[in-house]
Amino acid sequence: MSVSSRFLISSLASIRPTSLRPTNVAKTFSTTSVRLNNSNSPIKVPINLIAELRKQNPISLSKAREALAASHLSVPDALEWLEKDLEASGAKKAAKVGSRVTKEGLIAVTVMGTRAAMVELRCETDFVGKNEIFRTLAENICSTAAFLDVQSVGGGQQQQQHPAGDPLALFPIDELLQAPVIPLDPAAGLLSSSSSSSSSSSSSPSHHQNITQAITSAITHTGENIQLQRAVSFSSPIPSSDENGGAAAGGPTTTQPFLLPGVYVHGAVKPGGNEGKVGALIILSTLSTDKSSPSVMDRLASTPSLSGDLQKMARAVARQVVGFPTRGVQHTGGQPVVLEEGEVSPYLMDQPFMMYQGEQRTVKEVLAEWARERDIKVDVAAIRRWSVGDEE
Amino acid sequence: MLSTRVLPAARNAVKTAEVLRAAASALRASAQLNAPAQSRSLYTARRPSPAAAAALTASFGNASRAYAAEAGGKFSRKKPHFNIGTIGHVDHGKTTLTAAITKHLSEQGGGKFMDYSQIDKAPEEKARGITISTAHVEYETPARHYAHIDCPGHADYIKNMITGAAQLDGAIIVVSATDGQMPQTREHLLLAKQVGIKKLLVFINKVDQVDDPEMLELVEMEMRDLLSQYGFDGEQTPIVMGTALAALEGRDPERGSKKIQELMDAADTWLDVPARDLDKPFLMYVEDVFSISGRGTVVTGKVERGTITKGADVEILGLGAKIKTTLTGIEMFHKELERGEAGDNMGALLRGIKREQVRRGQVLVAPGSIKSVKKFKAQIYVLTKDEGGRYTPFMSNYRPQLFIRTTDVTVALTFPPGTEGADEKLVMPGDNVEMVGELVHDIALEAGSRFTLREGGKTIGTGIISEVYEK
Repeated sequence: MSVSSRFLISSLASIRPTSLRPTNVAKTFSTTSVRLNNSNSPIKVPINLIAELRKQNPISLSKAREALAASHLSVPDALEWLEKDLEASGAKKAAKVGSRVTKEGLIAVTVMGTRAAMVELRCETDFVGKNEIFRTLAENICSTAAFLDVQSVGGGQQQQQHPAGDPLALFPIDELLQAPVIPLDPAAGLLSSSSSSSSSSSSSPSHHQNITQAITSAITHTGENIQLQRAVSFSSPIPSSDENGGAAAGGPTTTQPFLLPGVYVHGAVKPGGNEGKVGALIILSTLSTDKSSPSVMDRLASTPSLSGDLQKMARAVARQVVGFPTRGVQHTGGQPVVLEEGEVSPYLMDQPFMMYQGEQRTVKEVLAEWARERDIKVDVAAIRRWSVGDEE
Repeated sequence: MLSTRVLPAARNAVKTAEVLRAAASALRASAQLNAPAQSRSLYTARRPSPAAAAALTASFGNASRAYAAEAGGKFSRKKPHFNIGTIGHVDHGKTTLTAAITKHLSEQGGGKFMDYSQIDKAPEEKARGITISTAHVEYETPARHYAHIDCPGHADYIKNMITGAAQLDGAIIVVSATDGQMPQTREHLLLAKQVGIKKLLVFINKVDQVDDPEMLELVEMEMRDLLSQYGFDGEQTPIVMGTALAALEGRDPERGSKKIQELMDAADTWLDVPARDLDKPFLMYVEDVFSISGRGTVVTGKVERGTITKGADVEILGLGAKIKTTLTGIEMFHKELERGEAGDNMGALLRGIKREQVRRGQVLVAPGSIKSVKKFKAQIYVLTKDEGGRYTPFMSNYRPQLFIRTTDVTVALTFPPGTEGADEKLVMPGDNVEMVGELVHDIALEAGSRFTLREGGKTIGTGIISEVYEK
């Protein structure tokens, strides 16, 4: 489905500029016929064409002129030229800025049913960090990571083997960089490519872009070093990811815990967005304690409210992890935690669960009671809390 | 570096006015002994209201602020002071421009030349593990004294604006002629808006690298469009085209030093100096009230701004009161005065007012110059735990104490109406956030008023009011 709609976008994109061609040509003639005396570039490029091109691709002025000069003053051809040029000169630009320090940027999170991902994308200043081009890039990389979760990249059924272990795996950056861009909502790409807003049109990935190319493109637009710092992704091992469990006919092992991801991001740069300064990705592991219905999937199917409740709880735990500087799920041996007055434990289970209806009791207590009321057992299987610029 | 500046200011505000005054004068005195740059930053730290920038009334002859060691002579107040900043993309030559300005003006006796490496200290400071968040440079034109501020990022500017550490009165947007405006230029203009800048200058740099004059026209055209789009005066904003590097290296004066001169002339004429405290409407905050037999009720306190003469009408405002009366006498150091002004600690004799009618926390103001309100919108900086603030986040409907002048009031903080996901939004230590506050009783507030938020005996945040709502 997503493939076909993306195909649609690309075909639309290629139609649209062509339809603009006649007017462009007309403008071209009206302004260029007089002077052809520029020493540096063989063709005098009219500035209205440069302005036009930059509206569709916010490239630097000199680059825009070069592109038009090389494309016989045709904006659509220049756009194509720029795309080809990205490979060579974009890489050069990326190499030029590559050594500069990146301390700003965004943490992006995505959850799609039982798939989820979190990535950190860095840049040099928070001006770029707040820019729509950069935000869209972070969003797209994150959805790509969620879509291609790391286990399925590795292949096989290995995820079934270690439900007790940490179900969150770091996505190898090199692999992610080679992956094709898979936007979260292909329709959004369609919308933005038909609008002439400079920031959004450029950010809609063109048909065959991979993540490296998308990053390079953003580097040429913003002139800043941009680095994909880290990524983590998750996909629930249970075959059906349908919320109401309707498609669970395959009959998963009933004793397997049901794993549900939850995400939260703080300081979203776009209202209601999923890209901000601090993000968390957590996994709830759920088992049914109802003897007559030992499968959580069956329970989800028979009790419609349970699914929503679980998602709310996953969200609350993710908020808790973001809100408090959380280092781990629980304190496991070692030195006792020393806290200053007013400080909260860095271990999730010992923290007051403020993010669940302003609770004063600990996460452990609230979670246990909440689960008991619903005849289930809930554990926090894994947490990741990232802030922009973390030293690893 | 910042926190040391923020904290004294924040903490002072919550002590009694006596302590505040003592601390402030101590700070001032120590500042006078230090480098001029530092004394200036303290000066800017206590200057209120960016919002009043528009109301410019310039009569600088009678500048007689009560700064003790003025005669020490390092920093002259003869010229109006202006805080200017540079905003632009990392490669567009902000630092080169700053260096070129200091060089050009130093040649005319206006300050000291600072070369690139002296201004751009960041790499070396970074190597030592210090985050430098503000660079201060100063220079003078015949008309004004400028402090030049350059911050690395949006968040730094916002924090400085809220805490008052480095307030920008105006800014130069630097754009390279080869690149033209970039996607993040929008963010640069948004920042200028957010810190309350009304007028900008544009410097189009590196013009020697562009051979086609039409290209420069395009850069200018696009900038004017964008300025208008973000609510600045796109048509009138001076746009200067030159090369900062040429000016710095002393070559090509036509596009170098002459253009720097043009830029500074534009700064002197286009950017408005914010109104000084003395020129604003009278406001004195009430610290104490006495009943003196045979004379009447005397209110003591400090004049925050403006001037007042004997016989003037005043209004007592705040804590539910709105009483008109006449000021029948001014007294300072047991001597009668005809006129009181910003910075004075004075006693004000009020006609026909009973002692019970005036309370600490109220203000004495020029009638109609300020409203007493319960509800407002503000930009708030929430201190990190290292700055002495909270360890934990808070959510909508958080209720700390708001301290301003001589009073404190409980305030309920919520996200502005229409905020997406407000029910699950957090405010974490270190955040800059816009919130709506609702006080349990009214106090005199206006756009630009600064306040401090405290809870359980510690300062958790500081804020600046952007809008007040009357009911």
